[in-house]
Amino acid sequence: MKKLPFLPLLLAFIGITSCTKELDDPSEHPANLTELKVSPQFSWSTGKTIEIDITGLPTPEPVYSTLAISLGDGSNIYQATHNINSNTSLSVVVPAEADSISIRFGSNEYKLPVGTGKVDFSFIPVVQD
Amino acid sequence: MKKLFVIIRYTLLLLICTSITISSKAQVTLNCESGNRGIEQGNCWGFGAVSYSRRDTQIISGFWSALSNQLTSASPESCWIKTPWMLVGSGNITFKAKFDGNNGNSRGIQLYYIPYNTSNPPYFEGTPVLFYDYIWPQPYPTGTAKVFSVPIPAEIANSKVVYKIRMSMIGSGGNSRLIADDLVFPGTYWSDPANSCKPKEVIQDADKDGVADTQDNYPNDPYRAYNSYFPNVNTYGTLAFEDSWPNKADYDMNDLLVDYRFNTVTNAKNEVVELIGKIVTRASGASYKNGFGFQLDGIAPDRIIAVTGNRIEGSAVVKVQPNGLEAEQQYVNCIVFDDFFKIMKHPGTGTGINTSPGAPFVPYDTLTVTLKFIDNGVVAPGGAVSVSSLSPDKLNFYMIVNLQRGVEVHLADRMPTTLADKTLLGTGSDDSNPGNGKYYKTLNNLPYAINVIQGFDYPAEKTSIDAAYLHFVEWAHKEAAAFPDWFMDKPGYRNKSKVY
Repeated sequence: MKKLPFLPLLLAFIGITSCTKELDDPSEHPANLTELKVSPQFSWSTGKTIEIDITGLPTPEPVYSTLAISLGDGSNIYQATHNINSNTSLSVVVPAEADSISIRFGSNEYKLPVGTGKVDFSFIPVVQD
Repeated sequence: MKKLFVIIRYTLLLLICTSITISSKAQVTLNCESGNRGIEQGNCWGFGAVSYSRRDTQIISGFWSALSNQLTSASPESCWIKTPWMLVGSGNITFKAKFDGNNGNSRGIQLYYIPYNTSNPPYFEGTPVLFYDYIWPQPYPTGTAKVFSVPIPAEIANSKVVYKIRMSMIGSGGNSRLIADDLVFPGTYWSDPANSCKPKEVIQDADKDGVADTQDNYPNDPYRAYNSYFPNVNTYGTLAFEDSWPNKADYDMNDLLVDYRFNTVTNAKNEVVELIGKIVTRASGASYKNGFGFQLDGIAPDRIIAVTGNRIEGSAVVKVQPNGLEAEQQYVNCIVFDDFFKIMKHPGTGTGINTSPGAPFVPYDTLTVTLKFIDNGVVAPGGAVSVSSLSPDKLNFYMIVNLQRGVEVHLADRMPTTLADKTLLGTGSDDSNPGNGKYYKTLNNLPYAINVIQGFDYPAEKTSIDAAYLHFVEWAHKEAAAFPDWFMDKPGYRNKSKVY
């Protein structure tokens, strides 16, 4: 019988120490800017840079047209004259919430996901042999 | 040995380059040596139940040949190779063919020409017309390929209109497959891979700059072709600065508020002609006379011919060189304005402009700043700048605090300009460390400025941004993995009474 009061005390102690751990490290769940510690890599921007690598299509002669990169609303964030034969790398900045961009070459349009911040695109169609 | 590799390498390159060729004799050819049928498809060839093979027993010449599926259909629509659109010449179509096995009840090859039909999208092909029909005698050749030579039909030879030619492979019974190679069609390639493989068209190009009018944002200006917008043609981004740097900030993020939209105008050679910035002055919750500018990181000042549209109101703070850029800078620096209060006038009450809810609203002003890289085709002394080297992340925005030229506040981790007072870095609450690329952040990596490229409504005076925007802290803490849309006006996202 003497041991019975000890159990609630022990449970209470465990509970208190668990809570204390949370309170000791507000940076785990910062409530405001004072408690906030941020990763050194965080950009503090609501945009994200997308690196785009474009692989050209070997053609017997140059095929020039307009290469346009646009957002979901159709607005062009990049336009340039491009030879379909050429490999190209470029970067664009898009809103962080954007999940895709469109690459248009002449009348051909391709919608590509941008989740990883890197887009690899090839003008060579993928075929299954 | 090394020479041998070089010879092999260049031989392979030559083979690949001749895989799809318009030769000086005006031939359209297919030898499959690209090894990737996708390359030919990209060049507007068509394949139906035909692949490429490099198995020893399935090659006619080179390293690759075309290989049909098992020929068990008498339909010419089942298994075929189709040329791109071409202006058919005269002479003979030639190709080689054999089989990978001597079995099957019948095997045949048919050649069709296909006229162009404008009312039959998406391929615009008319009804195929058979002009050659060959039934293979048995046994079917599996060793040496048969060489075919088929005259171009007189009705399409040297025509001024385009045709495709289709080689159909037919058969019944057995499982043998046809191998074809070295297809040569007299004529001129006339498909446009940039236009869904439709026939080439004569483009309308009023200014003769090489960019079709339909794609040219300036169809009547030979010196301009394209507009590329940042962040967007329809919206503005917002820059919000704290002017207490390097000391502790109150994070109301409204000591200087400007919206921006940039248009990079380029010519047909992809050279930047001008960079046009629309800068909207919105608010300054400060008593300081703050200025605003931007650097183009890595771009030398001699790449600019002239700057127009900025407002430097005679203060001695900014020294300007003849082309309008700030003098004594390593890179292009455009001071958009040196004193906010000379752009927008204080309404008489409240702290600053457009941050105290009770004070009168002062209408925004818009400055259109133009940096001219090329003027009527004449390039700046330092040479042209390509569009690819002027990506939006070259824009390095900053505030100049209270007419003190050395006191610049940049976005997190953006480098100060040549004229910034570097002795201030790492002082006060600032924890900048140029050695590891850390700039304009506190010990806890909090910034002194933010860039909301979607635009946003800023906090009212003396309201910390986290009190106005209820998910701002979580967004930063989770490195944007949570609430990337914290700035939006969604239920539970903001305390509206604390947003101006």
